[in-house]
Amino acid sequence: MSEAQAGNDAAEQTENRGRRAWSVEADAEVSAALRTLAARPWLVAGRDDETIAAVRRNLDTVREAFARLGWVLVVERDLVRLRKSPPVRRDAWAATAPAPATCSWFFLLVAAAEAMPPRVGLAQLVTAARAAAAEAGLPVTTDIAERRAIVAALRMLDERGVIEQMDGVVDGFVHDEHAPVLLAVHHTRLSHVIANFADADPSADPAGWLALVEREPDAARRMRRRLVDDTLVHVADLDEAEADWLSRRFRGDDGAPLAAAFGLHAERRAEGAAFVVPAEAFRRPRELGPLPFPTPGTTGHAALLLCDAAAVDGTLAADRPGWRAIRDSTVLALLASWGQQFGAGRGGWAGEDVDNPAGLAGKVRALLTGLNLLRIDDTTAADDGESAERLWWFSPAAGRWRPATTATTRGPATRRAARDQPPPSDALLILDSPER
Amino acid sequence: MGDSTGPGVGSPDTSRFEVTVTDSRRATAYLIAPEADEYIAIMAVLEASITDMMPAEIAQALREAGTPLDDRLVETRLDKLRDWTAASARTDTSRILRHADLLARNWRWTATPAGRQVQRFYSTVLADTPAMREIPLSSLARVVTALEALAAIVPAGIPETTDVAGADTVEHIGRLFISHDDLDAALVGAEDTLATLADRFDLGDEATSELKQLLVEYATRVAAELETGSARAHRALLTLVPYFEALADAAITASEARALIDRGALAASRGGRRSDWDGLVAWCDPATGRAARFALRLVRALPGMHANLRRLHASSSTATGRARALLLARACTDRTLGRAIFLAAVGDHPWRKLYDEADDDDLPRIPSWRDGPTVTVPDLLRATGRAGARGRPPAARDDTAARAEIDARRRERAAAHLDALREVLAASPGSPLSTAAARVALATLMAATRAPAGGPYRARRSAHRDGLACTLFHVPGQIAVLRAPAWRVWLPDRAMVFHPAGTRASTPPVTSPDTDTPVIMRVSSGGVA
Repeated sequence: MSEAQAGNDAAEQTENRGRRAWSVEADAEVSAALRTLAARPWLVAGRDDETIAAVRRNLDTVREAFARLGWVLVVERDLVRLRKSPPVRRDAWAATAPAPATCSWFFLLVAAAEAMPPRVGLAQLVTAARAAAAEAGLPVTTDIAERRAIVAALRMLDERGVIEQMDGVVDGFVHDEHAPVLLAVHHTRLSHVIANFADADPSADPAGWLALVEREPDAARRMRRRLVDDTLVHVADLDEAEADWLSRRFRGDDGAPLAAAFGLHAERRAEGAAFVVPAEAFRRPRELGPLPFPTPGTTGHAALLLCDAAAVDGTLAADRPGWRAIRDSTVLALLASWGQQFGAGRGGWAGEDVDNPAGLAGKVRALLTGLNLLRIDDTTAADDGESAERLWWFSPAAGRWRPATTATTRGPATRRAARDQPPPSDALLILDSPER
Repeated sequence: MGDSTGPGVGSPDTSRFEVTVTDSRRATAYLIAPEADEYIAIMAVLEASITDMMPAEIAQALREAGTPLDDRLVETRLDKLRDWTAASARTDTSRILRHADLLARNWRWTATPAGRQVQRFYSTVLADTPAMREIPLSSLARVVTALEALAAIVPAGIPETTDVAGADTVEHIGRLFISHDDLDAALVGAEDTLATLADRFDLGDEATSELKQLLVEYATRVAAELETGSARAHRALLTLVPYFEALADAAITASEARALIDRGALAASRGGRRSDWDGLVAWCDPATGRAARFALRLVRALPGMHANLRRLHASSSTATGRARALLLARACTDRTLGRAIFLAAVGDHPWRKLYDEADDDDLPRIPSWRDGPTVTVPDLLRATGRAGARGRPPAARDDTAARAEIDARRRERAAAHLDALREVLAASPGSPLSTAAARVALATLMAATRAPAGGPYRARRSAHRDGLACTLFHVPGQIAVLRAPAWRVWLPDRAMVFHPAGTRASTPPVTSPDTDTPVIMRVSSGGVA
């Protein structure tokens, strides 16, 4: 063997030693664990044992992926907890958060539980929480509203595995202050409840405190967090540094590897970008978060039809390329019309939504706003001289589900009408037409 | 037996205290008697005195200790203590000068051994919160040193005939068990205190500091030292196992009270019985011994300690978990930003994701969302808002016929296999087999060739598959043959025996040791080898 050949062999061996063994199954397991933690940041022994085992098997890789987002992964003996940064769109997430009273009692129970023994009665814990409320200067009313807030807060703590219900039913506390309920307090988990805190008084200056907690000077990290945590990103919402990251690094050395680590598809469009969950990467809609879309049901169906209607009849604006607007009144008219078309009850839409189009409009608005697919503009639409009215601006991303060909939608009422009263041309809804 | 206290002199007793037990537990009765404080004070004086005391001397000592009692009351209490076997009295002969003195109570009092132990138990365990005891690592070192010295002393030879008695041996045995007692008592106390502290979450700064000290010292030093030391001691003890009887005899022989021990009047100190040595082996066991259990308890206590230490770490008023929680509880009541504050502080909101990717891997340019590839929405979902057809799912298809056919085929295959087995077992070595039988035999033969050799003095390799076993013997010069209609297999230097699974083939007259080298096999098919 020549010296050159020997040298090449040695170099090849060195390279092989340094190369990480690649395994499809291992990468898929890491991706699944990352997605699970992004959807459920608390994994508790006895409930999520399989996922905890997967996280432990791939701890370094999982930690490395979250470290790129600036998120800390806490791995205890019986707990895996992902400490995320505050939500990227504060108002959108806050809209679906628990009521302020529930949130307040959540923290009061946390404060009270610190000095409790590992097994404690519900009444004892609540008494301590009320003492903590007095210490914090909060009123204690002992009325049913307060008891409901306490029960809701206890459920939130139970979901996180911090204060678990061992015996009895917590709901009984609403009507009986002395309901015999045994709770287990996990003090080691309790210390991980508060993930983000700034050195300021949040009650004295809430906005300032939030600004401190949400502050992230690194544009690249801000973009990674938005893409991983949120549905999509619009270019128009980005500052210069963020837009630069999107144009240069989304498909390059930063965005694409991050999406691959989570097993997500990097969707880049002229108006923005998104990390999308492939259809085969989840089994249940809740793995997509609290607002999956498109989904069955009256609200999801109405939202999908409104996106299609905006694509057909929406108004364009020069300063919002790709966005389509529909007037508030048009939305209500469309929802009322579709309610009549599909009918109420079995096989159709929910009866309460058919009877109350305004209420349905609120649900659709909450859904699409939460998904970053809709923005409500309260400025007047007086360009054409009409009266002031709110506009529903549909994101360009709403067009990703547009029907490929002309389609018709028929509800049961329509089908019944078709049998009785041909021709049904007025019951047809043209969903796809040449865009304006 | 019933017992009761009557009213005392100078301090009328109105209560009745019954002691119904008659055994040594009577010595503890004074701890729970109604006048326990007075009894305990008297016992403290007796236990602290190096000589017997007169009641007047006891009363004087009580007054000096801040518990004044009348002399007659002291005598009454002493009588009860004697009844409960906690104290004893003897006549002071030096004070008997007249006949009348014989009737007087010229007694000098002292605490009985049981009474002393009870009083010490009260003062060291019950009276105060147990103090954290230091783990005496010097005792561990002495245990290890003594054991290793003993292991070096015992000579190699037949243990039963070896005389291990000697001055050095006895000294090491004494040092060993004294040190071990010291270490064991400290570990038990430390374990209990550790568990108690780990379960308390209302510790103040001082107690948490104590816990921090425990954590640092125990986790980094004591556990490691204990593990290493007990492992060394265990190794030495394993060497000494054959000499345990001899060492126990040596310990008794060297004792000054040997005669009393032999007569059963006294029990030998630790080390004088075989069971003491066996217990020591169990104590030092690296897997289940006391040191190992201590380390395990330490590990279990760590999460609780961590939680407490976090509280200590954030000890300023605004940085403790409780203080932060109270601030956040107040902030969450804000009607506009309360929910956002909650989400920001907790940091466990679930993500929000769109699903199903569009086919956009090879796009020549970046399109807009409305002009780019679409994501398919099922027609039914778009048309009706439903994910699938409603109603009950149809019943499962009737597959009885298919199951019956599969069962028939399975039975047929089993019958054919059984026939093949019978043919193989009935055939003489080297005789031709049918194709089916030869395949069954070859499968078992291949398993046997892959089996490991039976060792340097055994010449067989054996394996079984599907009810047929095959054993290969290493016989130099012999060639085993498996014949099928279309192929043959030769195994040089082997003898091949097929037999039912679960039976053992008899060894040929001439064999030689086999090795783990692969079995050479030659196959011919269609005249080509």
